[in-house]
Amino acid sequence: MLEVRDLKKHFRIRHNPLARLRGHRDHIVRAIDGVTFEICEGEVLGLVGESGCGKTTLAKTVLRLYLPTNGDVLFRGQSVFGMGRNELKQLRREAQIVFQDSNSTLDPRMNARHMLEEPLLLHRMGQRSERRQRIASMMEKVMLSPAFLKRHPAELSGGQRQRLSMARALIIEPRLVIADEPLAGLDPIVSTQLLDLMLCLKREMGLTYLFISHDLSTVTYASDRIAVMYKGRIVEIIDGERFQSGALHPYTRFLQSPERLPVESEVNGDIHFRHGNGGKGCVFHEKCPNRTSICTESSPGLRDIAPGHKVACHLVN
Amino acid sequence: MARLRQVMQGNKARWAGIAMLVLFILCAMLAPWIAPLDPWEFGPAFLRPSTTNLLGTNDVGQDIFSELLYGARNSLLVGFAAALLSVSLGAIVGLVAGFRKGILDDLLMGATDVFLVMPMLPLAILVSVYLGPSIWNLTLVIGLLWWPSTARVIRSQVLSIRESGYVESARALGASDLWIMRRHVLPNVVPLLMAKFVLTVAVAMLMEASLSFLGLGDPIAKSWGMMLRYAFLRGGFVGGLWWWYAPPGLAIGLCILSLTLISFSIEEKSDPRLKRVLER
Amino acid sequence: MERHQHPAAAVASKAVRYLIVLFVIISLNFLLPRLMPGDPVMNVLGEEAYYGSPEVLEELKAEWGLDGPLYVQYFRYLGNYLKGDWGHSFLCMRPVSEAIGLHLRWTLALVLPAIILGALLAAIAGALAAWYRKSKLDIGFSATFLSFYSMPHYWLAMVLLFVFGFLLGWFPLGKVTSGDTTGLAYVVDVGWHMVLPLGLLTVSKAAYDFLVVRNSVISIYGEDYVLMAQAKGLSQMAVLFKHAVRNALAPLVTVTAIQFGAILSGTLMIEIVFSWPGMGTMIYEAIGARDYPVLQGAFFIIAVCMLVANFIADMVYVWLDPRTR
Repeated sequence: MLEVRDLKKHFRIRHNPLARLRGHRDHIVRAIDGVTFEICEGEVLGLVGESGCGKTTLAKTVLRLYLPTNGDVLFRGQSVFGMGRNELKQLRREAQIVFQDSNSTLDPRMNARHMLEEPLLLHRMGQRSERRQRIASMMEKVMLSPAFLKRHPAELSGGQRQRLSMARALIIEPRLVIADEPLAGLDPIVSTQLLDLMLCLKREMGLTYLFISHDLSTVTYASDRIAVMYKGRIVEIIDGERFQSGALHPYTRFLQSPERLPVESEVNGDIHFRHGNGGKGCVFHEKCPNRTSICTESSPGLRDIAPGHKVACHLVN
Repeated sequence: MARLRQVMQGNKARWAGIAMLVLFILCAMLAPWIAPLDPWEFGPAFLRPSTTNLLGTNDVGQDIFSELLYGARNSLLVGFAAALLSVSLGAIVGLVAGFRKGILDDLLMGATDVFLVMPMLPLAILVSVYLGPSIWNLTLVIGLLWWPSTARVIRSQVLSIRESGYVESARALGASDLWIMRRHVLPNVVPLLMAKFVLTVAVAMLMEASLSFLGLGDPIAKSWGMMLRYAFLRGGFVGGLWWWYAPPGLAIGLCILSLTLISFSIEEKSDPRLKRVLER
Repeated sequence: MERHQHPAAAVASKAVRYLIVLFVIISLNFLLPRLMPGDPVMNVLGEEAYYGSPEVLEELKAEWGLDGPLYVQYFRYLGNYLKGDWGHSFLCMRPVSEAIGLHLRWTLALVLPAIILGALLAAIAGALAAWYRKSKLDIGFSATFLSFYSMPHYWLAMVLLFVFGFLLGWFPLGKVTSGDTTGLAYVVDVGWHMVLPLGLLTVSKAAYDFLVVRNSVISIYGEDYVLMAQAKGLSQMAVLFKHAVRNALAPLVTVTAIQFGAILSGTLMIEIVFSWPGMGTMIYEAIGARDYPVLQGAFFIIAVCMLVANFIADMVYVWLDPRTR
């Protein structure tokens, strides 16, 4: 359904003219640096990685909210970046995203009903009575009481806001849903409820998910396949069942080790800046305990190790 | 309707502000009917307050109380008209600069920055002196010089809205620029615009008063600033005739005060988070 | 992430910006008389010029190149201005720069102390108001300052002078000195004359700053260590006070820079009422006599003062900033 081919997205941070004169060159942030994977219809692909590894940028680029520096994304065989206006409208109808941090992604001035109505109006789905019906049934599906329709985001709890965000994305009946950290900032009970809701909706509506998170346990629970991302590259893709025991890439093992807190990374988002060697060599070579000389020289591609298992590491055969 | 109910739940200060302003506006509008005498008619000068002349007469025998009522018209008119002009200009500049970043933004902001650092009163004086005394000149001058303040504020608001998540989320849903502007940017900008408008009326009224006091306004037209000018020049001050110069100044001050209070309440109402902070 | 602007670069870019503003102002001074309705020669030289001697008139015309093409005039004008030649005032019968020089010092004598004293007053009042938040003191202060903020400065000047000068006779009715005094007696005399206008300006300035100080003190009031300090007693309060002051300092500087124009304008108007021989009275007379060169020169020098004030405020801010971190 969705195919991502060697996608790259680099950002340029420009220095002011005075610093440029002193010889500082512009920083290039390689948010996504050659990502390739696919998502099959009806599956849940989980994407894990620490904060700052490029997950959100990937989500946005895939949906053409950013234009890529290189590479391509095919949705149902058609290139996303080559689409014309009408096709793009259709894409927006079929592929949706649920953002993290519902606080900033919901307009504080709109009440819930307006927010659910907006996507319907944008895609011209039905007259007023039909819209009302759709809104009512959507609220039911995400288990929000119809009384909440009059409320503004500030009057809803975190979990409720997240459900509203989901309803907003799902009301136009997409096929693909990218969920970017949907459970961030929610306490465990609410979190579990929301996750179950997401899986339930998937079954009901026949959705395909790209489930992005930094929390291993939830991703393992929900995903059919899991992709691990580090510094803009995918380092491993593995089946969900084999994830716990059969992961091979050193970074994945590092994420899974009990000494690590599975939450925020130790690096505060500066992860992009630290790729020494300027792009040569394996993306993990600086921190890898098993590093050898090859690792510093050339970057390993994502290779098939076993059916349904790809790893990007020189030392894994 | 819900809005109205919200307003009524405000505290006393806001209510007082609105009430005062409404009173002044009514006086201005109904001046021809409630003024006891014609303020342009000459008569015995320097009379003290009495039952015929509630505030006495000025240096040419015109009734001060009637002057006060009629003066409300010009003072408020110039204030509101100049504010309308300047806020509209500023809003357009701010919206354009904030929404379409790039060269246009840089140019407009450059112009805004230059204006903001310039002393307004001396510049207004300079331009008014050349243009000649008239209330419309005053309105024009104040209106055309004050827009940067609004522009800057609106632009930063537009920028913060643009970079906020919900604009992106609307884009993800497939909304066009125009749609976003209409449905997300404008509704969030309007309360700020209203608060700025009210404050600008206050500034404009003060400027009109100052410019008139300096003699740059229409000498025939009645405005509170003009009354103060004559009171000062023609012996009202030196002669200790406080009933001549105290009321107009007081009137100006009360109008400004009520406008300021109103603007506080607008800002509070529009931002529920701000309200909680202010209540601490 | 490395900071991508060295403080020196920030200062330099600000300086460049201010220079551009000065340049725009001089250009405005050049353009206005030539664009506005009326006789351009009179617009440039002032109405009194025509009543002066014709030789002086011709001399001035030549000096400012008024019979030449526009761009030649412009560069002459620019050159003259930068040299310090701002034209001739027929009203004062002296060069504009001289007239301004005489008057500027008196204006500054009011403005500069007012800013400092006003900030001090606001700091104390604001801190007290914040401390005893919502009490009668707080409401009283807020109401008073709000009222001062709303009334036109020159009107307050009139009322003040009437009450304290006229009715009560505590202070003189205007001007800077009452007679010939020298040395210390002169200073005291000037000081006595200064009390009312300075007092008014101080309170006006404080009115602007009061809210800022109050809010910034309130913002740290709610934090836990405040309660701890209260529990621990007086020495902790002293530390707290220092912290509150440091917190309020930055926004205070910002407000001062922004409001400098307003304070200056207020001073100009007040001077007229108090017959204080500063820029205000000079401008007032120039308006009456349509002495345009003086008005332009005044505009220029006031703008320079504002820019200097802004610049100082920017530098103080930069100096304060890394410290608070």
